[in-house]
Order: sequence, then structure tokens, then C-alpha cells
Amino acid sequence: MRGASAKSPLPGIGSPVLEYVSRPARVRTAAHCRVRPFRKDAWVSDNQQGDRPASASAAGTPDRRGFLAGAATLGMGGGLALAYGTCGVLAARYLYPSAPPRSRWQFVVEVARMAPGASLNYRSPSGERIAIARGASSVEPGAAPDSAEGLGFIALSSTCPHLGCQVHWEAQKTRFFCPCHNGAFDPLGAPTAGPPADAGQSLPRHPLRVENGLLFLRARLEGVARLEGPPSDATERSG
Amino acid sequence: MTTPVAWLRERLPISGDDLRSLTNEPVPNHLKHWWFCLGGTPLYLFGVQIVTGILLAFYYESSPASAYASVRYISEEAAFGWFIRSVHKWAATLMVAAVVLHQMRVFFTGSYRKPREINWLIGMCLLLCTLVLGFTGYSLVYEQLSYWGATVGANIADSVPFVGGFAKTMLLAGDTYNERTLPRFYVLHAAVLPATTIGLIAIHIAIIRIQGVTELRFENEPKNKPAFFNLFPDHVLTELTIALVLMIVLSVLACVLPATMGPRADPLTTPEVIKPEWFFYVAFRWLKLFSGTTAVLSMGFVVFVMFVWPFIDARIRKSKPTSELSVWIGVLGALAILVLTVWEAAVEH
Ligand code: HEM
Ligand code: FES
Repeated sequence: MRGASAKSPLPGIGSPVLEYVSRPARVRTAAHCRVRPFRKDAWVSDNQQGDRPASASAAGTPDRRGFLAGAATLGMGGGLALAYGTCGVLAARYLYPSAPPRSRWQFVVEVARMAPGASLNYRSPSGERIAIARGASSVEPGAAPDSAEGLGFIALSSTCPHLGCQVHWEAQKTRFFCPCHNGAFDPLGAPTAGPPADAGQSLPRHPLRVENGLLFLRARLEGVARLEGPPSDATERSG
Repeated sequence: MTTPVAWLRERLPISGDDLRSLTNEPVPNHLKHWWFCLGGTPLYLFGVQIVTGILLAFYYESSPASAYASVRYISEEAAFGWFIRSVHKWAATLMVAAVVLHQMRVFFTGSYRKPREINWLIGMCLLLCTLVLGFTGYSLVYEQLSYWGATVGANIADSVPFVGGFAKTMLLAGDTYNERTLPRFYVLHAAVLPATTIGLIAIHIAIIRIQGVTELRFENEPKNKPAFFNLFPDHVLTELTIALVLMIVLSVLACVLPATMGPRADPLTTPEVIKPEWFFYVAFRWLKLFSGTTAVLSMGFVVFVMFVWPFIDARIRKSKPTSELSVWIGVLGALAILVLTVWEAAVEH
């Protein structure tokens, strides 16, 4: 290959090419660049004909004029910056979501119908999958014995705390598994492997409440999971 | 009776001589080697993206309920829709590759050195624009990998300290993927980023014209040979040849390996194997190797070093003028990127 120098670690395109000439920044004048395809003097546009109004002779000494001009420029520049700055802030505010997503307490199950050790899958109105389980004892030390936590209830979101993929339950390994970066969680949502374990991130829990023997959960009302699309068997035909 | 040419001349007095001298920027001889024309390649591919992108926009719908169906319409029902979509997809892939190769040639020829540091910085911004264009474009199809790629990408932004939460909310129009997310990606992909890229390319090329392309001489070149040739028509013809070859390559790729569609996005099930576009394999592998913030901050640091590289290199060469350290750092960096990419490509998880 041409240009290979004996020392070059990359034949042909290595850096020690012979005679590297770093051209200093050439200061080019307009004439040098010849960026002047238009010859203004060669033509006169219709609306340039006739006399221009003579510029009004300004009053005052050059010093004072200079100062006034400077102040005016500053004032105008500042005004423009302020005006457009305000527009910029309005635009940013416009792009930022106006309200947090709506959520509500939702009925799940009668406490009596879920014995310790049982679990169920709950679909919230937003379409989210929530794993609700009841442990043998309180899941939080010091919780009131008749509270949801005291009764051993726990509601785990299926959204991985690492980067938001959906975990799924692997029965044979009794763990929640996240396929994105091989994260794993025990049945109570504590991280056991992958990036979530390194960073100590548990599966997020949904707030629970027990009232009159009924279990309630707080979850979102809206989400894309609810949106209907065409049946996905449409995909089989493409390719 | 005036001829049309004379009619035009009267109104647009452009001098042919001046135009010729304006375009006849002398170009150093080494630009006859194809790898020095790698800057023109992404430029041409970017043009292809604009034309095919505008055509796709005639049918694409950016609401999550109908996006997937509209892409299916383009691929299966609109006449030659599959061809336009496939060319757009392949030109995107080749553009990323061309930008990376162009950057490598700039790196290994030391062409970022004084006085060309500013153009290196502009070039880095172009690299980021190209990558983000790839990311947002991938999300628009609303297939499984689009959805999960977007979710993971936004959460990566989230783990940046201080500004991350704000950036993620701005990107997703909420704290999770929602009905208003996809239109946002679409506006970024089809308006904001292309406009930014056009502006950056204009500055990039203006600076090249002010500074001239770095001159390199090969050892086996005779000393008395003229060192420059004309941009017009000689170099333009080289670029046109490349453009023609690229058009053939794109058409063949589009016909042999047309763009496909995976299953529609399902926010309830992350597929067992998720992969981003190949040019994000490096970052994806990195994310599996380190935990959230560590991975994100170290990646940010690498990008920062790439940005300020001309200044680091200047330091190295000031203290040790004959040192080859810069080249070796480049070789190591390129190898590391290659290894991480191949590793991610080779394994499922
Ligand atoms: C959309 C992406 C880009 C386009 C369209 C583009 C276009 C060009 C063109 C046409 C040239 C003239 C020389 C040549 O063809 O090799 C050039 C030179 C240059 N580019 Fe880029 N470029 C892009 C991205 C980048 C990137 C990512 C970098 C590095 C971070 C970069 C840094 C430079 C530098 C420093 C020069 C001057 C090289 C010299 O003087 O030899 N560019 N670019
Ligand atoms: S998103 Fe679950 S491990 Fe990364």
C-alpha cells in the first residue's frame, strides 16, 4: 500500500506519514476567497434609482453620540434578549408535561380470600402488571398488625428499577428475571443478580391499604399498554 | 427578443469566471485516495436520508395506536414503499459507518491538530446527531425493539446525576413511555435533528474551506509533482463516482435485505432477547458490565475525552514531540469499541 512508513502501526493510514505538513491557519481576505460572484456595480435595481434621503445630521459631539449609540444598542439588545428569553422559557414550559399521571386507589381482593403464601397477578387500568403476594409474616418491621404490611401483603411492580424493562416470574428458579441486562430479584423484590444487585435496587412497590377487610392498591390509570393496535399477526405477513 | 439565458443574466448577474474560481478550491493530492473522501460519503448519505425521509413522512403516523400500522402500510401496500423504507434504513446504517470511518481517518492522520480543533468539535457534534437520529428513527416503527430501546435509552438519560430526571421527562413527555412520547421522537427525528445536522454540516464545510484540507505527502510521491488538484471538476467527479457506487450498493441491499418488521410493541412483555441497533452495541455491553450510574458516567467521560482529544493530544506532543502515544491510544480505543461490539453481537444476553 502506498504511503506506509516503516514505523507505522497502521499500514497506509498510520499517523507517522512522511512530511506531515500542518498548514497554519491562512488568514484569508475576502479577495483571497473570491466569494464575490455578484458584481454589484454592474447593475442597478429598479428601486435603487432616484435619490436616497440624506441622512439627518445628528446633534452633539462624537463622544456623546458614541455613548448614546452604545446605550441604545445595549438597550435594544437587552430588550430582545429578554423578550426572546421569555419566549424560550415559555416554550420549555410548554414542552414539559403539565401534570403528573393520574393514579387512584383500586380494589384488589378480600383479605380473607388470600392466605399467607398465596399470590396473584393484578392488571391495573393502565395495563401495568403488578405481582401481589402475601408472606407468612409482616414484611415491614414495626408495621401495625392490621395494616397491609403487617398482614404480610406486598405489591411488586413489574418494571425493572435498572432501566425500565419488564421482569417476568421464573417459577423453576423462584425469581423475577429481567432479560435486558440479566437482572434478577427474589420473591420479595430484593435484587439478587445483575446491575440491580450491584446498585442495590429492589423492584418498586405499590402502596397498599387494608380497609374493612378489603385490600386496595394505588396505581396509575393511563398508559400505552392499554392502547389497542391491529392484531399482531399482521406482522407475520411482512418480511 | 432576449434569449432565456440573457433574460436570467440581466436579473442574476452571476459571472461564470467568478463562480469557477470560487469553486476551484485547490484540493491536496491525497484526496485522490478513496479513504480521504470519507467526509463526502456521510454528506451524500445524509442527502439520501432527507429525500427518502420526506417520502416516508407522507404516510407515517406518529401516534402509538397507529404508528405500527402505518409502517406496515408503507412496507406492504404503498407502491415501492418497501424500497424507500429499505433505502432509508440502509443509508442510515451506512451513514453511521461512514461517519465513524471518516472520524477514524481524521484521527489517524492527525488532521484534528491545530488549527483544526474547532472542526473536530463540530464533527463530534455531528457524530452525536447521527447517533441520536439513528436512535429516534429506530423508535418510530413501534415494534417491540423500538419500544424497549426507547424505554432503556430514556432511563439511561435518567441515571445522569442532577439533569437526568429532567432530560428523561422532556424526552418521554412524562416519567414513563406514554401516548405523547412517540410524537416527540418523531419531531426530533424528522425536524429538530436534521435541521441541527444541516447547520453543523454547513459550519463544518465552511471551516474546511477557510482552513483547507490538511496536506499529507506520501514518501513515494515525487517532490516536483503538483501538490494540489482542482475541486471542480476533478474532486467533484470522484465524489460523484462514490455517490453512484453508493446508490448501487443501497439499491442492492434494499432489494436483497429489505427492512422488516418485528412484532408490534407490547409494553407488558420485554422480549427475551433485546438488542439495540448495532452501533449502540458498545454502549449496551458497557451497561451490562457496570451498574447504572457508573456505566453512564464512564461513558460520558469517554465522550468528553473524545471531544477534547485535540487538546489532550497537543499536551502529549508538547511534552514528548516524538511520542507515538496518541496513535496507540487511538488504536486501543478503536479495538475496545470493536471488541465490545463483537462481544454484544455474539451473545444473546
Ligand atoms: C455528518 C457527518 C459528517 C460530515 C458530512 C462530514 C464532512 C466532512 C468533509 C466533506 C470533510 C472534507 C475532508 C474529507 O472528505 O475527509 C471533512 C473534514 C473533517 N472532518 Fe468531517 N464530517 C462529518 C463528521 C465528522 C466527525 C464525526 C468528525 C470527528 C469528530 C469530523 C472531523 C473532521 C475534521 C477535523 C476534518 C478536517 C480534516 C482535514 O483537514 O484533513 N467530521 N468532514
Ligand atoms: S433493565 Fe432490568 S437489568 Fe437492566
